[in-house]
This record gives sequence, C-alpha cells and structure tokens, in this order.
Amino acid sequence: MSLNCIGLTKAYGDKVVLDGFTHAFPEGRVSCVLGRSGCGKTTLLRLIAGLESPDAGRVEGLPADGLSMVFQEDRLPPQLSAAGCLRCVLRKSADREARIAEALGALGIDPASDQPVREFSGGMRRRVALARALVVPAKLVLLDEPFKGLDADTRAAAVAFTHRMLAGRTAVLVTHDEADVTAFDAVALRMG
Amino acid sequence: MKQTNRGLRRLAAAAFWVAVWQLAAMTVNLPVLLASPVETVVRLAQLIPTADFWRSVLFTLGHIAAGYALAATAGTLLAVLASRFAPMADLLSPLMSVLRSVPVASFVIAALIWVPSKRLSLLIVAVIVLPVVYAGTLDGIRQIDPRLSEMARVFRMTRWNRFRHIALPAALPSLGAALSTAMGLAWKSGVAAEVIGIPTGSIGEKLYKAKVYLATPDLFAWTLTIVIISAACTRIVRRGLKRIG
Repeated sequence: MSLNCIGLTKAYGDKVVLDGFTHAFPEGRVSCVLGRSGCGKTTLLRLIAGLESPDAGRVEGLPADGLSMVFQEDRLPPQLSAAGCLRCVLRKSADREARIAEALGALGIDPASDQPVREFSGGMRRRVALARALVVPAKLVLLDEPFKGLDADTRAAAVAFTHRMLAGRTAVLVTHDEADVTAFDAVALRMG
Repeated sequence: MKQTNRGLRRLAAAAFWVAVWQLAAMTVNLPVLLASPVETVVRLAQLIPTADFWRSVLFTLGHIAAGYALAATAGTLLAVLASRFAPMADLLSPLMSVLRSVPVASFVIAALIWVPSKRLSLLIVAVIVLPVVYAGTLDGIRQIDPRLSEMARVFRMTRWNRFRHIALPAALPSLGAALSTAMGLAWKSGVAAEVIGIPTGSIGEKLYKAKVYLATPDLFAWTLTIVIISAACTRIVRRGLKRIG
C-alpha cells in the first residue's frame, strides 16, 4: 500500500506552510521531494512521522511497525559513541552488532571507536545519523537532506550505500540536488 | 604535574588555616574558650578507640543517611510527576517554597511534638533535603533536549534507553549538584536537630553535653568528626554520580 497524504494543511500562526497537500508516495520506492527552502518539505516529513498534527487532512498507509528518519538536525545523544547511537535504537538481536558495524563501516565511521559523537565533525555526525536511520529495519524511511554537509567523495559513498539500503522500502527523501532523482531511480515531487 | 601542584597548594592552604587556628588558641590560652588543633586531635584520638564513639557515629550516620535516601527518592519521583503533570507542579510549588524557607529550628520544635526524639534527625533531614532534590531534578528534567525526545519517539526507543541515554545525561549535572549540596545540608540540619532533641547515643547528644560541661576539646573533636563524615558522604555521592554518568 502506498503512503497517502490527503489534503494536508498546516499553518504556523498566519503562515500557511502546507495547503491541502495531496500525494501518493509509491510503496517500495524512493520519492525525492524538491523545492525551495521554506516550502514545507520538512513540515511534510514531520506530519508523516506524526511529530505534528495537521490542521486538516490525514496520512494513510503508515506501516504498523513504525518508521525510521534522518532529521533536519542530527539528533544524536552527544555522550554516546557512533555505535552507541545506533545500538540504542535497535532491539537486541543476534546480528545487531554486525549490522551496526556494516552500516558505520560503509559510511566511513569506525564502529569500534569509543569517541563520543559530540567530538565528531559535522559531516561525521551526519553520517552517523544516516547510518542510524538506515540500520533500523523500518518499511518507511524519511530522510531530510541526509547528505547535507558531506564533501563530494563522502557524499557519493553515502548515496550508494543509502540506495542499497533503501531497496524495497518506501522512502521520502527531501533534497536540493536534482541528481538524487537519478541516483535513487526516484519519483520526483516538486513543491512550492 | 599540574594536578600535583594544585594538591600541594590546597594542602598549603589547609596548613595555613590550621596554623592560624593554633596561633589564635595559643593567644587566647584558655582551652575552655578555644581548643587548639592539637588538643582537638588528641581528644579525637582518645574518643576513636571507644565503643561509645562508634555507637554515636553509627546512630547519627544511620538516621541522616535514611532521611537523605528517603528525601532523595521522594524528591526525584515528585519532580518526575511534576514535570509530566502541570497541576501536580502547581500543587507542590507552595509546599516546596514553605519547606525551603521555614527555619530548621521551627521544624525541629514542631517535630518534637509529633515524633520521638530518636527519629527526629531522620524527619528533619528528609524535610530539608526534599525541596533541594526536587528543585534540582525538575531543573535537570527541563534540560532534556526535546529534539532528542522526538527522535526517541520516532525510533520507538525503549523506556530504559530513553532514561539511560537521553533523560539521565541531561538531568545529571543539575541533579548531581543538588544531591551534593543536599548531603552537606543533611549533616548540618540532622546534627542541629539532635542537639535540640538530644536523642540518647547520638552525636548531637555528645555536642550538647560538651556545651553543658564546657568540654570545648570534646565539642571540637565531635565537630571535626562531623566534618570528616559529611565530606566523605558527599564524596561517595559524587563518585556514585560520576560512575552513573
């Protein structure tokens, strides 16, 4: 079942950010949401995630087992190591540590490091936030500018890994880069 | 090297003030008015091997520790409730203000009517520590980053992980400061309550007797004992908090 946004409306005071937004995000595919800053892309993700309630409209087709997300900010517990940030959102399982090591390793982060993420550079923190969202086995993944602040080489590696990890999952990817539509073989949605 | 220098400076400062105390005592030259450091230490050395000394220490320590633990637990739980339910915070606010501002002596005299003097220090310590821990915990809870709380909601983090990795690290600096401060207050108020209530076999009773018999070296020796135990208790609390954090 696709993820359906039906007549979503959201205003902050007098500023209407979304006005009757309706769209069906196809199941098992990546949808790239493009548009100028302030057009409501992040608000759309927050409404889908249930972090805010719409003034009108509804979201249908949300998976019962929850979702995963890369937020606009990294939102990592600052005292934890990179692996700790992933571990704390994953239930215990036989392959948990292997999955953590694979995700961090693929994004160029040492999974064995004890260094707290507060000491990481902005780009490293972004990659940990991305690894966290991808390692959680959710059917729906929301990504708000997940490659923000990454240099060209790191970005390319992150895009490749993200593409692989999103295979068969429904994903809504907010981006400013048109090239992501091709890279993810995505459905493009232009807002604003 | 830097740490060694700092340790030496602290030791030198302590030695300076002990020397000032010794000089003052030598100038006054009346042990009944001011016992010297040497007289104090000698008296303490005489008290330490006696069973009565340890009975008094254990009595007071037990009651103060029990009152402290009770208030720390209650203060933390009430602050958690107050942070979740605004009416609860409104309800508790005047009570905590009263507990903070009423003088210890008023509490002690009122409490003497309600409880036997044996349990007095426990009750007084609890009443004094409660508002300090409550305020510290509430302040700590307010330091929790709401963006991390949202993240925890989206990822359906377990209650334990939310507490361990988001709530506790944010709340600990404020809660820790409150718990350390409260430990010092617990000893001050607990012993003051004992001096007024004079429960048999307590440090407070020993201080009271020292006053009655003008045994100033005893007064100083018992005071030194209180300072040492209070500092040790505060250090234990700080170490415990450091380990948790």
